[in-house]
Amino acid sequence: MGALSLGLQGFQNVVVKGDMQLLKYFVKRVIYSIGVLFGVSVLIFTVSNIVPGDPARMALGPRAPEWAVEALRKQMNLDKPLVARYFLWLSNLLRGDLGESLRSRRPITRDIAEYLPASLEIIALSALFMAGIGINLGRLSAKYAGTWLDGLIRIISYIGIVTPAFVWAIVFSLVFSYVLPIFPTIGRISPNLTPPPRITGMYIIDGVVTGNFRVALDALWHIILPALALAMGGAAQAARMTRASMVDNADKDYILAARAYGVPDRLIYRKLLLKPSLIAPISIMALDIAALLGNAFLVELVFLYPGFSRYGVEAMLNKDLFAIISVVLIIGIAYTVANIIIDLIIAYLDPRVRFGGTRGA
Amino acid sequence: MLKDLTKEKVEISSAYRERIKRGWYRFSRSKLSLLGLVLATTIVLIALFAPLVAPYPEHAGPFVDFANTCRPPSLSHPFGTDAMGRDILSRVFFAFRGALLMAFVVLLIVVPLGTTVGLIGGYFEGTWFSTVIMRITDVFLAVPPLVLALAIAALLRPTLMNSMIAVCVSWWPWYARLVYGMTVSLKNEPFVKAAELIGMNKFKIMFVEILPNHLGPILTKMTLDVGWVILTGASLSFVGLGEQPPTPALGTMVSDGAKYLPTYWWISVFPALMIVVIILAFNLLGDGIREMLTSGE
Amino acid sequence: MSTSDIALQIENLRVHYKVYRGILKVLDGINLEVKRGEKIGLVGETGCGKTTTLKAVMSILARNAIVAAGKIHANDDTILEVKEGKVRQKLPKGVAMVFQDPTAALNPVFTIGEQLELVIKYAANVNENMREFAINALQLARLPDPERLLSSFPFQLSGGMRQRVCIAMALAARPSIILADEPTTNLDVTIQDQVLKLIKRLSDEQKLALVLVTHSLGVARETCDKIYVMYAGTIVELADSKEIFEQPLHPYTKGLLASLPRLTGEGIAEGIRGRIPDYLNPPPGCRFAPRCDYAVEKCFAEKPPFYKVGDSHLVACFLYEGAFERKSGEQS
Repeated sequence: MGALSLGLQGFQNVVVKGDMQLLKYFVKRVIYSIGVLFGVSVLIFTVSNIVPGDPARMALGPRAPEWAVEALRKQMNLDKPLVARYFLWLSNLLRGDLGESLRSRRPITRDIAEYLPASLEIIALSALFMAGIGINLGRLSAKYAGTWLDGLIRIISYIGIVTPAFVWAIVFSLVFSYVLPIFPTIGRISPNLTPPPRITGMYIIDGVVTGNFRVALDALWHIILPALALAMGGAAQAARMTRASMVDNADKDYILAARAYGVPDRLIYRKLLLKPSLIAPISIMALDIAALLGNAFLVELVFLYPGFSRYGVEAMLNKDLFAIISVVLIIGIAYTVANIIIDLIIAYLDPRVRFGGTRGA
Repeated sequence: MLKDLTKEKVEISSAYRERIKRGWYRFSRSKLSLLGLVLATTIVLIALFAPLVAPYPEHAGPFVDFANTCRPPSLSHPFGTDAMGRDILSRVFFAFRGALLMAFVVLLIVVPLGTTVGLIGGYFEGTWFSTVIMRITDVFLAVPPLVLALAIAALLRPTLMNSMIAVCVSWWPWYARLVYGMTVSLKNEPFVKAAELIGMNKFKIMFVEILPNHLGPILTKMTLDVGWVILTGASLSFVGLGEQPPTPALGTMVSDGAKYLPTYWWISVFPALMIVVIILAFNLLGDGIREMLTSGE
Repeated sequence: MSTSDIALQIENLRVHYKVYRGILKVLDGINLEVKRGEKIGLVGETGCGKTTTLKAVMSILARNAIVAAGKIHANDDTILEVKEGKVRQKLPKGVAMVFQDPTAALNPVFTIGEQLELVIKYAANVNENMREFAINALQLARLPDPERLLSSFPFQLSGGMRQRVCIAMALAARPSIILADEPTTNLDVTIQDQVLKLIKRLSDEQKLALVLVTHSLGVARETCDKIYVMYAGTIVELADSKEIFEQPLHPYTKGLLASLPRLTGEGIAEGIRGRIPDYLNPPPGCRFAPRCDYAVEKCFAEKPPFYKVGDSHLVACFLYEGAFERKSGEQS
């Protein structure tokens, strides 16, 4: 796996050799992102609160007595002006209190602790699929450009791009429930098993760490299909872009020079050509992956997977105000973190960026 | 003097016609692009003339026929019927209307708005003004568009109009960022400097000098976006936002049919397939446009 | 003449390119010979096939290139041979190439050290003490602070330094032949001079055969012992550098020399009328005939062979038919 070895080497280069520029760059980005996230919180807070309708009434339903609605309104601080409410919410946030969900009647932080790790597991596996399948297909496609293999991979990539994740989800669900029952298609773990003791909330990791391998494997089995469905689009994009980049770069003088100096083909394709070509596909992939936290709900619905995205959508449909704000904020954080990680990866891949350039080769 | 000018005008318009002819030639060289054009045109035509083309137009409204529920695809019902006995093919045709209307309206609003923001932000790059605008754009960009659209649409009453508003709010920053990037890279080019030197009005510079260079990528993105906006709309209607029953919407049809999988698979599969076809059509078309506009001029 | 004296020999090389519109018959029988330690200049205008010739030697022609005929020997090894329509080609040993654009010739995302390491490992076959080897190569190319350079990236260096790095890489391959493709064209004039002097000095010190491709006769004259004048994929004249300037024979060479601007106040040069031929349908006879003031009917019908005028001065032009005729490929 060429990409993996590149990654390890990069780690060595950056961490061990202590690249100062990279560190400064990283710090700058983090500070900027925190600012943006504040902006996001303001945005979503404002939007959810200026929208018509009375959240307290909507939460309790049309038949609740007026005094109950009044009491809830007071509790939600709905009688105070918008700005005051924002700062109240913010101060609570900084103390770790996101408010209470109107549906589950629990602190939102507990809801998040339950559903977020589930989605993180899917996203992690999805990212692995995307990178592993996408980049390698793209690499093959570039190496055998013009042959039938290339044509085949390109067709498959195109299908992958135009087919939305939930369609794949439905297809996989049908195929693996009724035609080829290898993978489970519902839920997180089989009903006859109990989840492992909670350390991170991620069943696979917790299972492995506590020695509960059977549960860990079962949980893994359950996330393969949703992760694959979510990965198809991103993998297809990655394959296409990797191929395009590599084909473009293959004619560059530095590759010709490498060939002229006798560097073997496989080394060229795995390293010399791959590294400069990864910048574009990785940016797109990382954004896709981050967006999965929010976009995964359709797939989670199809597989009845109790994930964060599904929780968020249900909160939105039920106008569960504080839950909505918290969900959007967390998704925003995830997206921003992903952007920073992309920038770091690109700064590693393209050294020109470390010295104050912008993304883009 | 006047005579020379009119000759120039005629030469320019025939030069344009040459460009259009050459552009078409390049576009039509790729069979896939032609396929995209044909598909996209078909979809648009079906949407426009749905009442005339659909075999059972009344099925798209409040209609039930419990004698004919869940019939598999047949000659009289190529896509089968759903749980209320309605012809799925006709409903799909009518669903195209809402979908295309959303794409049309959203892009109509978002593209000018986003482009203007991007132009201003990019041209005045470095000033506090531009920084503020782009920071605001960044805030909107920090949340994936589907999530933002969902949040907004969920907080409003579920109608087509409201879901369009929601998608607009979450879509405009992508054009702003695209145009911003391109404008920044162009604003120090000699032709812009020259225009500034002769004292051209700043707005004229932005819209007459810089903007035309962006038209290619913008047009390409717009075409590709038709498919993605429709997908976003379908995702919204899948969870019950957007068009309300009995008006058919692609997402709603998929989610309604989900409970009948796998026995009555056609109820979900055909609308889902149509979503794929729409995205495919506009992707092929967009790729063709990109090829046409960028293959060496 | 013992063959070990000749470092590089190209015989009757024909290279075509397949493009959408047809086949570009670019190289039409190139003959070239470089002795050990000899410096020859390959001079011609843009598009005449100089780079194609070098790439054919290094076996890095583009995918759509077709070697129609020819033989190439480098360092007593046949590296290219076309027999009965089949092309046998292999990577030459002991030949290194310096490219025209140093920015494009260096991989932007790897350090100089990493790239040098690859050259040392695969071209020079050295697996120990690679770092010292690399530093040595950098020093030979007169680069300051070689240790720091090893961990630098190409974009951190100036154009001139990058080209020196490319030269260092070429040296690190321990070659006996260096092919330099317009190595100074993309550099500032003052740097051009330095780099050329460096190349010349290295060739002298290390006894390297040098093929210097350039579009400037002046550059070739300064650096090279012999000059091959190339036009539209054919060699039209070859002689010692001094001889080319003092006694240019081929009408094209004469035209080239006449178009060099002179400081003695004779006005701006006229240039040669016409344009290079269309490689899709090249002229059947002498390829320069359409532009030649001295052309006769024979020139358009037949390809002129080489005629020997003087000791080592060869010219491919019917004007010199009276002189002693030579078969292509033979030299005295």
